[in-house]
This record gives sequence, C-alpha cells and structure tokens, in this order.
Amino acid sequence: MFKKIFIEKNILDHPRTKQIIAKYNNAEKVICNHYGEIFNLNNQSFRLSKKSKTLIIAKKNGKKLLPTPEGFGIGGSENYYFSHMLNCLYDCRYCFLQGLYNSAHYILFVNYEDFIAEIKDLSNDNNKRYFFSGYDCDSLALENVTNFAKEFLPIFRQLNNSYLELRTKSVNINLFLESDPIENAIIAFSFTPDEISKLIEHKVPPVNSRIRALHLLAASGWNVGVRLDPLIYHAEFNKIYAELISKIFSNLDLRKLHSISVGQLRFPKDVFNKIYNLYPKEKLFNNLLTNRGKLISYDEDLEKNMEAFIIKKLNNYVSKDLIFSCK
Amino acid sequence: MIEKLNVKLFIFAAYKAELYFIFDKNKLTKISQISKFDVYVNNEKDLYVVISGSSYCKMSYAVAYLAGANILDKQSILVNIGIAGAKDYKKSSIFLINKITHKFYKKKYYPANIVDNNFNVAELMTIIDPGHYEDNKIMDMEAYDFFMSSLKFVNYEQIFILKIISDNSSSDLANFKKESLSVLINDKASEIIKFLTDIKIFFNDYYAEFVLSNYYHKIIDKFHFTHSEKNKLAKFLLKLEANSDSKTLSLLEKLVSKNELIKLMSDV
Repeated sequence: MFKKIFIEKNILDHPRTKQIIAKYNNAEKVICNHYGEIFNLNNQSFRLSKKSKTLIIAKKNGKKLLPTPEGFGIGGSENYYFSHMLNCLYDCRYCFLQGLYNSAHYILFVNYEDFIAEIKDLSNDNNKRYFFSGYDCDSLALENVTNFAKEFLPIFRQLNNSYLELRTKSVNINLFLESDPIENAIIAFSFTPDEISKLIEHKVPPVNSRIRALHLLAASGWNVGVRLDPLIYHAEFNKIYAELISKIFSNLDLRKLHSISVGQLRFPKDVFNKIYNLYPKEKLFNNLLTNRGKLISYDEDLEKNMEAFIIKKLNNYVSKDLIFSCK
Repeated sequence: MIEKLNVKLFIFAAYKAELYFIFDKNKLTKISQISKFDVYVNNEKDLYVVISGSSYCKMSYAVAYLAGANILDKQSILVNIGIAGAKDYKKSSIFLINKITHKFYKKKYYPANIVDNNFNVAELMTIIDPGHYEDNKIMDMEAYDFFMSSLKFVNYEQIFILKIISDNSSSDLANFKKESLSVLINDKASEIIKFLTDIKIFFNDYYAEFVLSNYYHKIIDKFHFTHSEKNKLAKFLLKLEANSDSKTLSLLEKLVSKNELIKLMSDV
C-alpha cells in the first residue's frame, strides 16, 4: 500500500511506529527530522504527490484539539475537532485538503496518548462535548494501519458526556461489528448520489456499499450519522438526491440515527484557485460556481433551493431536530 | 493550464564522460550560443544534456542559467547523473538518491522519486572537497546545490538524482582518470535509459492533462490577444468543454472578429 514511509527521528522508537514499520517491510524507509521538511515544502504538486503513496509517521506537537468552525455541530454545546492524520486515501475532487496542503502524503501522528490526554482533560465536567475526527482525513479508511478507532473508542466508553464522531466514507467496519456498541460514539457516513460519486469521488467505496455499512452498524446497535455534505448540483439533482435519501433511510433503524447534517460546497478563494489549477478541466469547477466575497460557491438561490429540497425530503423520514445545517 | 505539451528532459553531469552512453544513443548538437558550460540538444528539442564541470555550485549555476534563458521551464524534468564516492557501497553500484544533506548546511531535501523504478536508494551528502567519506552515505560535490537550485524552477517531483559509485576510502583519487567513468557508467546504461524513458512517459501523460484544446490555438492564431485576454479565453473554453457545450463551441468556428468573441464570452 505504501511505497515509501518517512519517519520522524523523535518517534522512531514509539510502539505504534514499530508496529507500522513491521507491517510494511517492503516499503522504502527514510528518517527525517520533522514532517514539515517534506510536507510543507513549496513547489510540490498535490496532484503528483497523490500518485506517490507515501506515509509520514510523525509526532503531533502543540494543541491537539481545536474548536470547530462556527456553524459546525450536531447538537453539542462545545465542539472540537482533532486529526490523528492529515490527508486521505480517497481522492474526492471537491475535497478542500487539495487546496490546503502542498502535499498529498498521508501524515499519521502516532502519539495518540497525547490526544487522549487532552480529550480527558477537557472532559472533566458535565458539559456535552463533541469531538470530531475526519476533518483532515477519513477516520476509518486506514484503520488497518492506524488502529485509530480501536484505540480511541474504549476511551470514550469511559467519558459519559463526551461524544466522538468518526466521519468516514470507508466500509471498514469490522471493528465495530466485532465489539459492543458505545453509546457516545457516532459513525457518520458521507454521501453524494451514485451518479455524482462515480464522477468525482475517486477510490471511494460505492454508495451502495456505504449505505449497507450504515445499515449494518445501526442494526448492530451503533449510533450512526448521515452527512450530505457537500451538496453537489446535478441536472437531475432532485431525482438523484431523492433516490439517495430513499435508499439511505428506507431500511435504516432510525432509533440509532444520531443526526443528519447538510452542508454546502464552499471554498475560500485561495483554496479554490489552488484546486482549480490542479484540475482545470474538472466539470465541478467549471459549472455554476461563483465568486461570493471571500468564498467560491454556488449561487445563494441555488444553495437555498438545493438545501430546501433535501430538508423537505429528509422530513419524510426523520424529525427536524435531527437535521443540522452546516453553514 | 499550458498552451502545448513540451516536456523536456534535462540531464546534468559534471563530466561528458559520465554521459557517453547518452551521446551514443542520441544525435545531439551543441548549443553554440552558450559558452559558460556545454549544452547539447537533440533534433526534437526534448532532450538536453548539460555538462556543467565539476566543483562547488557549477551545476546549480547551469540550472539557473537555463531557466533564465527560458530553455528550461515548468514542464522540464531535471536529472543529475554522475559518479560519487561511498565508504560502504560497492564500486559501480547505482543508487537513486532519496535524501540529500550537505556537510555545512542544516536543511535537508528528500527527492520524491515518483516514477516507478528498480534502483536501490541511498542517502547522499554533498561536500566541498573529494576524499571524505561517512557511514551509509554517498558523497558527491553537486547534488545538494543542484536540487536546491532546481526546486526554484520546477516541481519537487520533477527532480531526480542517480549516482554510480566510483570510489571509496581505499581509492587512489590522485590518479583517478575521467576516462574510466564511461566504463563504470556504461554498465548501467540500459537501466538508466529505461528509467529516463519511463520518466518522460510519466510526465508526458501528466502534463497532457493540462494542455489547452485546439479551439484555443485556432482562436489565438486568428486574433491578437494580450496575456490576460488569453487567460480569460482559456478559462472560457475550459468551461465550455467541461460542460460539453457543443452549441457554443460550434459558434467559435464562425467568429469573424475578436469583438464577437468577447461578446460571446460575456453572454455565456
């Protein structure tokens, strides 16, 4: 899977590093001082580096938990996100990471114990807090390598008022099926309709497989989430999103549905320009996106219409209080 | 976006003897206008061989010069091929460099080596004077400056360094003959040529994705455009093509003036 693995010198002896290295005997190993020597270098191409299948094993220094952007939440009074990884195995054309980072190499921060210590520190009162994983990476796509969920879930089992959202497009759910559900964990799947996914969500498991994984998890007693984020315009938007919503909710055990969030396709201008230059022929970037102040997004009316349609359809299946609009 | 596919392969060496096998396989002509160092080019102008001379910074000057003269550009691929010393590697073995350090500088570089290959990899240290060896490192005199300079002009993924071991701590450097280089390197010629071919194919495929269509070239040939107008036109055409707007694309064929085109661009 990985052709090359960079390892920060200071994390060489970490047990997780050793475990991963042992697993990838044939990969080329290079010792570096700090991941930034490779990852932050200017004049590299995200699109080219996506082809290189390189993992960087590093230590996360500084603050591990960050408050989520305003308008991002699923019902908690405090919301934090954290990233044990940067970048993603998948290659979704709308992904903002392409415009955020210079490199597509996967960075794995193996000092989970430091993340866990910060989560425990914050969870010392009765406030309802959400911790989101899957903002800078897919939470589960590399679970076989990272054991991230395997290590973090037992921690949350002990933290009553802290919720962990694992956002994913992966169908790597064996870990969950083999263990008892944890009430304060939410496995949230992102979806676009199949017609869109096939075009712009490269290397992502098919929509039907994700729906099946969602249903299986709910049937096994796990709390699940549905993320229709971002909404992507299509000439048959209403038809294909109605079909998607119907497929998702028809056989879903709604008692285990924690939340649905709906989000818009929006890029900060500099991020968009960077992504556009990587894929200038991509239809998504040449179709209906407009300049709205500091953002590039669909026209406001189109956004409103798409969201209104989605909410209306969702209301056929779930109550309003489960639906969150990410601004 | 790029107007036309123009991936050029630049091979840099300190001595001509290091690249005799390239000269044998390709008809190369010396560019007489460049006098500070030797540059040879093939008829297709997609293969350049640069003989910079040995010692401190000469190769990096050559990179900068060629970029300044617009011979080397963003699509260019830069490969340094040459001999190097090593304490613990076998003479005549070949390595693709995956880490570059400098005896006197702190910053390190890690070539991406993005094109599939079968070479062994090794760390390299650039030094000022020959004859110094360190454990598990290949020693040379130009790779660090070459990489640093190249990085100013092309993507990091487009720079490669291949080294063939010519000497070790028991070598008699004082009596080293440049002519013996070609014997060392010729043994590896077929491997190197295969790699260079693969590099060329890889980047040709990659950059082909960015080439503007025939519509662009037809319009540019027909009317005069400023640089910023060209950019607007390119974006306009990308939009039409991405959305398969064949109706508007067919109108482009019938345009008789630039003003008609500008009107069409504002209408669509």
